[in-house]
Amino acid sequence: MPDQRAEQQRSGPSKPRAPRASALTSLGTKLALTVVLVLAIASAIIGVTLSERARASVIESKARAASMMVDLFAASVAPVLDFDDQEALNAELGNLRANKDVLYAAVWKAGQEQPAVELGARPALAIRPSGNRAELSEKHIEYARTVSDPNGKALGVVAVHLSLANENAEARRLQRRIVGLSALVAAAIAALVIAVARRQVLTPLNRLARAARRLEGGERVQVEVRSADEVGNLGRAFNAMAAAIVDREQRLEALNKRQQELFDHMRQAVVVVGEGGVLDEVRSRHALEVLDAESPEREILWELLYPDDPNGVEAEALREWLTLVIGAPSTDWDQLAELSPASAVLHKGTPGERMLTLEFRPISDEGVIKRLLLLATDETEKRRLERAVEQQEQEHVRQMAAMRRLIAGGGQLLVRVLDGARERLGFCRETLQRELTLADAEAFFHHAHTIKGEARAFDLGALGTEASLLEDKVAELRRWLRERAAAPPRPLLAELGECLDRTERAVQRAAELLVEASPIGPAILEQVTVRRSDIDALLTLAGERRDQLGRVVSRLASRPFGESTFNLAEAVVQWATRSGKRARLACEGGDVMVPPALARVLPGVLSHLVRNAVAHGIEAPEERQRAGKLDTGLVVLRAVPGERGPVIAITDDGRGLDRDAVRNRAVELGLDANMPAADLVLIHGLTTRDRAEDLAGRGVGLSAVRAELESAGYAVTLTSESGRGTIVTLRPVATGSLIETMDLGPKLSDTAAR
Amino acid sequence: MIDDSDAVLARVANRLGAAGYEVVTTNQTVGAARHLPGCELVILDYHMPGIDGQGVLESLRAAVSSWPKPPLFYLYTSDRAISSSYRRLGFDGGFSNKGDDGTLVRQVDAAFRLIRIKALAKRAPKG
Repeated sequence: MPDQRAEQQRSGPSKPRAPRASALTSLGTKLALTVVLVLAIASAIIGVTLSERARASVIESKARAASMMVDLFAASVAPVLDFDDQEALNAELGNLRANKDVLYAAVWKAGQEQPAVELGARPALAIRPSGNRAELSEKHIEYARTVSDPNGKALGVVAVHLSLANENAEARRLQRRIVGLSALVAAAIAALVIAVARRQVLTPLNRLARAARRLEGGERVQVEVRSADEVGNLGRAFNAMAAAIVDREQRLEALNKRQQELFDHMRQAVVVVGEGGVLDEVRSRHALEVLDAESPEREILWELLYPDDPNGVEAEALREWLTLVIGAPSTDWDQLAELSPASAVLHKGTPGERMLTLEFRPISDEGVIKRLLLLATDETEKRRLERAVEQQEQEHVRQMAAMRRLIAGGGQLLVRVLDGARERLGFCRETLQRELTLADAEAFFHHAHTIKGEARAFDLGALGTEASLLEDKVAELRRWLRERAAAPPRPLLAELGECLDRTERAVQRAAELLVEASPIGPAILEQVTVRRSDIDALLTLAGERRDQLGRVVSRLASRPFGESTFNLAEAVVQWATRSGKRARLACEGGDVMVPPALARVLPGVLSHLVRNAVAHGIEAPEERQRAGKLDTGLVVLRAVPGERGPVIAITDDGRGLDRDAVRNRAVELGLDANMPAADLVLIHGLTTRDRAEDLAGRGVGLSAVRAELESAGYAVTLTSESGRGTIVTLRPVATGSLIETMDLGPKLSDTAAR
Repeated sequence: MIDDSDAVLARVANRLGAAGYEVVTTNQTVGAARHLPGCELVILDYHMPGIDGQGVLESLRAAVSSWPKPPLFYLYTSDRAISSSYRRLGFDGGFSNKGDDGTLVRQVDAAFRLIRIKALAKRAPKG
């Protein structure tokens, strides 16, 4: 569905991308910090523990050694105490002096509180020990041993305090080594863990993140999966998801493309409009041309449809309607649709004028109208054609009316003009076939000029125009021949030939119009002009003869039926319009010959009868519509040849004779109401009109018509069918059944079917 | 429709009549109010002899002031400056492009649709 612009975009570029993790918040940093912290704590705990153990071991070794030493010292002073040899005692104590660890040593003789000998500084709270003991403190060990002789007699007590400084120093040195080693090990472990984590977890995650960003950017992407663990599963899941997204996007794109193609192939301009009259991106290609909806700016529907008057009443109505519709329940659409604009004209009065018909369709979601689909059909060409046809018809009507006027003024003269034009054009064409001289061109010019003048005199516009162009071209030929001695160029001769062709066609067209406009059709082209007085004289001399001469004279004196009808076509329209009706006239049998006696009275008779048909028969348009008839009533004049003379029928498809009104009127006038209504209306003085009007209602017409026809040897009868129409038939007064059984006139059903 | 030109009145009446509207026309600015009963929309020319469209509008508005549903008054003039100021002059709306009968028919259609749209909007305001 998106157009070309949207094809460049894939999923999601319009949405903000996910921010990349900063170095401080990255998983790797957190993992590293966590591992380091944990391992640091562990190594510290392990280091301290090992250090303590190492110290304890060292101290224990020292304690054992010290204990042995004290035991040996005690054993060595036992005989000395037994013999109470003070010098030996000092010497024995002096032996301890070499041991740098001895902080204090003392020997008590049995029963004495004060030591007999001492070595080193006496401790502050030193008292005679009571027996064997060993006390360990942070910085020294204190031993006390009871000295006894071999018989077990207590000879005294010895006490030795030994320093643990060396051991503590050793312990501290061991501790440092242990801590250092454990820290090293911890670091190594941390590095290993971090390396493994980076390789197995972080790097794949980063790769996945990059792939996800590329996928977000619309690329088709797959990640390499190297493991079968959770990270590998994540990678496989990502690949599956990426493939699904790509597939879905491709299908969406295909769907959009198909829908766009569908839109583009519709002959309407299709756009979607939402709240505030804003157009969606969705639109057909035709919309870009018809509505100028190509701007990437925000487009508003009423500004597109009414660019010349965006604040006018049409734009306001559309604005208010859209406000009402968008957000309305879908069930209200039928009512709302009636208030939508049905058409719009863009760029009125300019060469780019467009006439659009508008059709709206709702796009609903959950029962609420969210947007509207607008189908705009460009009917400019159609309207232009309709206007052209209408203008042509009007022009044709105008030409026909002009031609009728011409014919009324003397059709034979016009025929002579057209025949003369043909002769002149024939001469010009022959002239073109040979080598042209200046004299030929002068004659050529004269003919073209004459045709032009006569055409203009007879108001034959098209022929006059073509003759004028022909004259101009001949003038150009004449100039060439005057100024140069050479033959005229072929292109000029070819153009002359074309002008001749067009002029000949204009003459032919004028002749066709003459035939079409003439009530006697093609016969007019064969007419000759004779004086009526000559015909009357001939009729007097030979009209009574029953031989061939008499028949020829009678035919000469006869007139074509069409002559009596030619001015009625326009008159019918005028009579109808004057009385608020619509009617037209049709004639058949225009070239049927009417005997002279009837021909003298027929124009007046037909005029009266047709007026009556319009006044009494043809209904007003509304009444005709209610009766299921066409708005425009039809009056038909038809003549058919008969043995004793033509039979003429005047038929209308109006309401027919109002028999009740005729009978009532007859009663009022004291006439025999039992007579057929069709006969009653032919009685002098009977009319159903309350007042005389221009067209009818005087009560004298039909009776006078009957009298006139009877003087010409004709009878008039009237048949009518209520609601269907009336036929007035003029027949020669006849005695034979042959004529009565002939198909003398149209039936009312024929008229109604027109 | 009130206009001092009979030719304009005849043309507009013919065109709007053909479009299905019942049209009453007058070239009399004085007493035009008697033609108002039954009218839903009044179209007024502006430049008229003796009194301009705004003056006629005021008198007509006074005549219909007590009506429960007075007609709308639209300005129809070829004077672009006046036409664009219809609201300031007190009119309910304005028709443009005087002389173009086809456009007038569409604009009159739109004016009547607008009346119905506003009535509908008032009856069923959207929540």
